[in-house]
Amino acid sequence: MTQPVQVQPELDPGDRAPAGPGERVAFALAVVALLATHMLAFEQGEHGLVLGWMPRDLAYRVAWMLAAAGVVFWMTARLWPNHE
Amino acid sequence: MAEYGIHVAVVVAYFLVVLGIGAAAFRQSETTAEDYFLGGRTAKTVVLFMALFGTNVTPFVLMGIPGLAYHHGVGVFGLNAAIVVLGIPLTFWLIGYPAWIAAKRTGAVTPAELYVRRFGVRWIGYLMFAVFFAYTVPYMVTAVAGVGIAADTLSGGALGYAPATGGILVITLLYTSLGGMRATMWTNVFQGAVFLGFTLLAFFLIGDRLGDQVGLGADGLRGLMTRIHADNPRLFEVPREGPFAPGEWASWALAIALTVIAFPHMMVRIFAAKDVEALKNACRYYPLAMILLWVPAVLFGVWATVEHPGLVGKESDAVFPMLIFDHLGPVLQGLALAGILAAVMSTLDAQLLTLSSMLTRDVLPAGLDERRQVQLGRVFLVLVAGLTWAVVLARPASIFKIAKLSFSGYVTLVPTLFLGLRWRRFTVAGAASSIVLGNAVLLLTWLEVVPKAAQLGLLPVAWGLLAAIAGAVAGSLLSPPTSPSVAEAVLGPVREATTTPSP
Repeated sequence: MTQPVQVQPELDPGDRAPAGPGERVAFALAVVALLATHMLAFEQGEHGLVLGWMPRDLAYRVAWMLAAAGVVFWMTARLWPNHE
Repeated sequence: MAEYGIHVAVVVAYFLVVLGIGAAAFRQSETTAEDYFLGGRTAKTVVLFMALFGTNVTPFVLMGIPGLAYHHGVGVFGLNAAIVVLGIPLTFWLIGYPAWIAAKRTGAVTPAELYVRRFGVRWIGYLMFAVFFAYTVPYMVTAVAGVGIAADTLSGGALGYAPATGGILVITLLYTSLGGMRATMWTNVFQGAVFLGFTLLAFFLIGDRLGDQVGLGADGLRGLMTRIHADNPRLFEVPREGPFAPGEWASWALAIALTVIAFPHMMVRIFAAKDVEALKNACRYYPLAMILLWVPAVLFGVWATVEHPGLVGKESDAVFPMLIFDHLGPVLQGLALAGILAAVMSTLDAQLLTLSSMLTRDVLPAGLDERRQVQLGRVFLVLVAGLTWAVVLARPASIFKIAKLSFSGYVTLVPTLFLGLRWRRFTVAGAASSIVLGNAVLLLTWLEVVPKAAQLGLLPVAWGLLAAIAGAVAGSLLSPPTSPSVAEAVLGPVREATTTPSP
């Protein structure tokens, strides 16, 4: 029986090995974790400001964005092919 | 009056630089449609990143977001800024990257043109053009209205809303119609730098000066934030009601994470990328730039509650220029206006050019020579600008509300954009039913023909997206497949692999 399969070009000599299934699953889990933690919120209450000026929820969001930036770097380095 | 003269001088200097860049781009341009509409597909990392960043950053951020934060506090940051740093790179990878490959392979210049080739029927291009047009005009209205509000506030009413909005459209038309995409990308580098640079400068100067005046327990920014925390603690909380209730929060996250890839002017910028590395780098730099831009934008709105309490509804759209007027000198006020102009022009130029290219490539009769296409594109630019100005003068709602409708509408196109590139069984009937059903449901829920109580706490965009997905899948499975040769021309070849069937 024959099935159509997408043609993948050869890797360039400098390319690293593409991400395997395990790494893809780990990446998907990281994305899901980020989506879940995006739904959280932090109450300010009487707490002091982070670094003396930043509300807690704002500080949490900035930290979340830095974590998301790390995931984006991972995606562009390992999962996104270099070839056309 | 002397201050007004300084504002004008700074803004004129800014315009001269932009027009100079546009003229330089014009000198390098060729007369082919690909060069005019896509800059010859030569955008490298810096140009592409600034083009994407500039196209993504509009008065929605500098005017609409402070206006919203004025009413709702710092929760606006989590609601609007955070999720896009993940959503936009993901959609660039899943949709933008295969679209870029397919556009290079087929020579497509516009998103609608790419999907016309994907399905081999011209009418899908008309439908996509209609939807892109319907949601891009309101988005352009938010940009131009933002300039009008800023110019009116910073000039103390001397410049006026109507002349300012008309003026910005004329200037943008001039350099866009001359230099095409190459001009818009080159000017975006300058405009993005002005925009981001001024925002950061204003953040530190206004925070410091306002904090020195009203601070509590400390000078500068720390004193200012301590004072607001003491006087108005609700601005530091996420209330979990209204737009912050979980259902609305999640559906708005969906909207802003998915909408950007469906901006036609964004997709065209992706088509203009020189190589994969440029696309990847744009995604890598994007999160940091978003943090630098959005933290100030939200805090401007929170700070304005100290000196300008009691603003109602869309009145708060003007809080950023109000702070500038109160705390910065005339040169920086002029620079502020230039910064807002930069934000507007960097988006407006791309939107105008993309609508123009879609009309000439996807709607006008096929077979026109390329020189004629460019000429007609320029005429259409003028007509769209006129329509935009008419709506701007009517200004039917706040910047945020208009943008919300626009973003929600673009999201209904995402299933078509994604499945068209990732699922060979996706058919033109699937695309059409997805677009029609998605927009019908969006409208029915937006206008509350379906009562709000029946929407289960979700925003109309979530229902529109669900309907679009259902329409795409059902329409495709119930219609005959696209001819393999048509799909392969866009998606590339498939090879035959022999597999052993399971016993």
